[in-house]
Amino acid sequence: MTVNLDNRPAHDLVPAREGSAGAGLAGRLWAAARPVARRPGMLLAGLFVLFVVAAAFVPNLFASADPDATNGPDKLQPPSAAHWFGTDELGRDLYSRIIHGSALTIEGTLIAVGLAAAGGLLIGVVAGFFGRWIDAVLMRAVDVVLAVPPLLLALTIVTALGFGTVPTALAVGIGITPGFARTTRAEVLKVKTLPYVEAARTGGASRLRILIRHVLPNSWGPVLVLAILDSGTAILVISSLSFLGFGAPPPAADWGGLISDGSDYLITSPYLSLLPGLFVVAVVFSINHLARSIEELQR
Amino acid sequence: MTDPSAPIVDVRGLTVTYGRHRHRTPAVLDLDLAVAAGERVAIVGESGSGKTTTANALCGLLPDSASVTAGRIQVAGTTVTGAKERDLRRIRGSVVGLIPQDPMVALNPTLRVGAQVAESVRRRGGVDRRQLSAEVVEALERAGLDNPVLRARQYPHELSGGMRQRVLIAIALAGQPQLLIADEPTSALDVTLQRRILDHLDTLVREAGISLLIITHDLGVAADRADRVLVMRHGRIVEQGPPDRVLVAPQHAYSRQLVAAAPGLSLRLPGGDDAPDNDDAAGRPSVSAEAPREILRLDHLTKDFPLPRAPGGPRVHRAVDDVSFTVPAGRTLGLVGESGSGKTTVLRLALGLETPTAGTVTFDGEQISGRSWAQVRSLRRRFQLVHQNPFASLDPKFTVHESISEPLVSFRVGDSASRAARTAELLDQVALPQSAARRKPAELSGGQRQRVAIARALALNPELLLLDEPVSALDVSVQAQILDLLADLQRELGVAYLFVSHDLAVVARLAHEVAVMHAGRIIEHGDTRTVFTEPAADYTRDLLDAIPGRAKGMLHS
Amino acid sequence: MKRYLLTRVGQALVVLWAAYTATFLILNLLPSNPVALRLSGANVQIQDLTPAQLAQIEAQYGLNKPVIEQYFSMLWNALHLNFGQSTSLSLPVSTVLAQRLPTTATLAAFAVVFMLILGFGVAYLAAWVQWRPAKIVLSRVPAIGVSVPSFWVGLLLIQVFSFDLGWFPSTGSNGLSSYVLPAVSMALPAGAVLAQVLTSSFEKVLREPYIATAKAKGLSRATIQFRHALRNAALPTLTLLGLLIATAVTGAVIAETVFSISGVGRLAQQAVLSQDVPVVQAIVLVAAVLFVTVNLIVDLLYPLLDPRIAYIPKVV
Repeated sequence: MTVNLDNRPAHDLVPAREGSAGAGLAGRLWAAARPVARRPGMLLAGLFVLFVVAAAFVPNLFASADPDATNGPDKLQPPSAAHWFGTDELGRDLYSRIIHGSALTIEGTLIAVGLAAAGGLLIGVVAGFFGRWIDAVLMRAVDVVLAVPPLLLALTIVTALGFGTVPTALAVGIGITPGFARTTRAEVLKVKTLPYVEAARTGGASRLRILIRHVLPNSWGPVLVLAILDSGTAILVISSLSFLGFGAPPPAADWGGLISDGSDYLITSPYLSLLPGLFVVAVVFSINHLARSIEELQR
Repeated sequence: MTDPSAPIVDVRGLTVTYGRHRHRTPAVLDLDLAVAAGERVAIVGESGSGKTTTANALCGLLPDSASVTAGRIQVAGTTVTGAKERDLRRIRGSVVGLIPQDPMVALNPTLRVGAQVAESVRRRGGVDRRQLSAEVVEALERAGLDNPVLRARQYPHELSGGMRQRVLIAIALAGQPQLLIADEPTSALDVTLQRRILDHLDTLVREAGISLLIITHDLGVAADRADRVLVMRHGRIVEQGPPDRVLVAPQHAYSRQLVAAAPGLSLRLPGGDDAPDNDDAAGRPSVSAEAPREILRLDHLTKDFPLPRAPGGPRVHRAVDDVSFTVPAGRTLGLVGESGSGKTTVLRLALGLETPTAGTVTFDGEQISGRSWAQVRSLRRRFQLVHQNPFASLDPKFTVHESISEPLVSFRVGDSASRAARTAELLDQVALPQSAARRKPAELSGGQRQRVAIARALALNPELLLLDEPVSALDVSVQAQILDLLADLQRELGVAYLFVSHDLAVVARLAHEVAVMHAGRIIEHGDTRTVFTEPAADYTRDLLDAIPGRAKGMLHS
Repeated sequence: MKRYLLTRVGQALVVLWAAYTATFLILNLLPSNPVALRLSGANVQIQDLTPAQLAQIEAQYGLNKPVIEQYFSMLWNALHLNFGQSTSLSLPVSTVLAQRLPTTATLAAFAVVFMLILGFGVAYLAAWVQWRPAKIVLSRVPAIGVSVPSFWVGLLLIQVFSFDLGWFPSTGSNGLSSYVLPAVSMALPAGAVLAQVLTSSFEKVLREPYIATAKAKGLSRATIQFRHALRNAALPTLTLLGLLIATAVTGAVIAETVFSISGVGRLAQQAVLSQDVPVVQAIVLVAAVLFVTVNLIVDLLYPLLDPRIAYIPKVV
């Protein structure tokens, strides 16, 4: 709620916000950290996602057991102190397999979202900023991709390219590009018509300057949120594809594959498929929560 | 049973607070208010005065974040404070009718108008189904709608702003209330339409013998339409009394400030005898002896906009029709018109943001219409725009210094040191403190942002400033400050203004010449004093008469 | 009105053509060796064939003709519902599809109905209840629904409702009760998205000025929410509806795999696994036709529900 200052003479400005006039970087970091500190949920979600991404790059830091070590007598053990998530039909430690499996899924997600964001941003900015026929052509191309439902599109690409982490990542990436293109374009269109852009124009600014200094800095907000949200979606689709059998071949175990293997033993050892699934839910939920919190902060 | 001599509204010691726990802000403090049956009362205040909160509290319509922390409200004998929702519903509509603020958004867009009026009629009770549609049509007719049978079947988006306002009046009256609350009843409408609707409302209120409570920021409206005026500031009543007394001889300092700032109440026209050497009474730089050179010239300007294809309808909309005028260097031309008159389009044509269908725009002898942006660019340094909306005309990510110096950067004038110096100089000129340079727009108020926008427009030392409704988004007291600033700047720098506004009274303060536009054409053009005192066109006369408060105001000469 | 109808149908046809082109390009231009792809579908390795046999196979699949000709002849055939021969099943694709369509159609119908009930139900309740804890829970629950993979939900449902409680069968498609669990697993993700969008839409609508006008008239909360808020809140979800139905229905691929139902979805999964190109192409095309039709219907419904969008000139 801004206090109505206009009854005071113009010389009276709002006292500087705490921290903004403070020691440069430290002050700014503190000012940025405070809204996050007030949101414990966001902090938790962020830490969990960080943990999963770290596990993807250095799994041995978090899981000591060897994911491929078969251990005959120890097979199909329910969760215990020795094996946090239990063991599978070959005696392998499930927790370890999940942690090591995150590498494949995260790798795939990063490829998919990276591809989609780069492509989508480029298309969206060019279409939104230059408009007219460029816009029409690019948006029609985007519509072609949207003509096929994302899962089916992914299935088609996988049929053509074969199975594995990279083809599934590519398939998912192409499927989510339209979302980025449209969101970016919408933001650019919105900012383009704002008065301060017009003011810059009448002030003599070139179109390039307007694009780089005004349009881009003010449009990236929703795109960042979308990137985070789509990471969650990508994880779900990639694990669905590997559940269906199109992911990395054994013994590599990405999350979808683990759940698929586990489903054979649903009657006797439900934890084999349900626990990895719970892990996926936790990851995706944290990512979604992060995205929503960032969106709230931006407002 | 309600005692006919008892006041309809009886408020004692009302305190309303927003927020919870640590972040509590009082909106209304210890308010006493009484409205007698048949009386017309106006509550006047700027934004944040608490007037809307008071009105909402009367029918128990405070938002969840607000609560009544002290005092008591009684409406027609029923205690509103602390009442249960069920009891409050009983008085809403049937005892208290509310005419909401903005007719463009106050109606459900997916429900037919007749159905929305019918909901009010049904609340009356005792109206059976067959009579219902007849009652609805009658209510619409009494509110002044033409062809009420047709209107009842239409949706809100098919009606104009004025018609929607009448529908809202019909809804409020259909419940046959004893008290009508009109919340900013006309701020969204054109002045001539304002007048007609308010006159009509006056008649209806008098016929029905009900009380009227008007909430407004416009002193002029309060003066014209109420038996008693209350001035509110920061949640308290600072003054109340009959309009003649409050407006002519205000006792409280704030009321005096409001009266002085209200353009309609204290029109200052040029040509006074008590003016200092170089200025006239309003502080306008006076007319010099030799004919000043033309800085901007519009010749037979016409602009057509293509319309979406509707069968049998017109193919183009002629927004500007054969408009010609000149702006002399160092002087101000005020371009006045209601919404849809084409005045904003004229401004955009003058800036080169639109290309004319016919006619030319010439700046200091050089033609700018019909030439490409690049060709005109070098001329752009000499004329700049100040936009209407101070909240959207500054990039939220730029500091004040970056915004002000951007034109210098775009035209590659000087280096960063000289630009910093220039920003400092400009901040002084617009009366902002030097510390503002490091701030972002979100940390400034509306008036301060507008000063930044003016500073930015002056950065390149232009000879002409085009101003598009530069003060309409600001509170009345701030408006006066900005207009004074503009007058000072013109005197110091000799910059010419083309000033577009819908508000004649605002224009009167600054303009040497006034041109009145209606439906794309200029229907009157002359020096300010003549246009105001001896208008040639009927439309101008209507506009002048419609200025709220004119009847009660004073014309300084 | 006629012109609007014609333009929308025309657009739909263009989209269909685009879908066909996209799948054709992916399946015929992306793979390095289309013949090998076809052969692997039939479990034959390309090295084991003599050049003469190879040439014969190519002719059989029409792969020796120029790409453009393949494009048009395949399109022509598709329009006549001739989708060629399945490489893995040695049966005409159209026969296989026709066998399995009714099962999946029933499943899809259940899924869409559940999705609408879930989505609208949760959102309406979230907007209605005033007790803060319940309101917060109802508004947050859809976020979980959006984060769950549908195959995991299927497995969970089997575990709880089939094995533990024994209420519903875990596999097969005998009797209506066997459709319930798979349909729920398909409906959950899409229904959760619908609930989220609708909940935030309700929050926005209930803050609009015309709701305050309705309150000032003295109307009850139930009347306001049903008569004034619902329609306005549901409008933004309409544009999503086509996409949500597509999501729910394509979920059949996963649900039929989890629940071992012999429908088109399971067929799709097996076809991709064995790289059976004609089957995959046919399924994608049929799905595209279905979803384009659904989107068209939704587009035509929109003006009926939102009077501000009109293709019929209103009374002036």
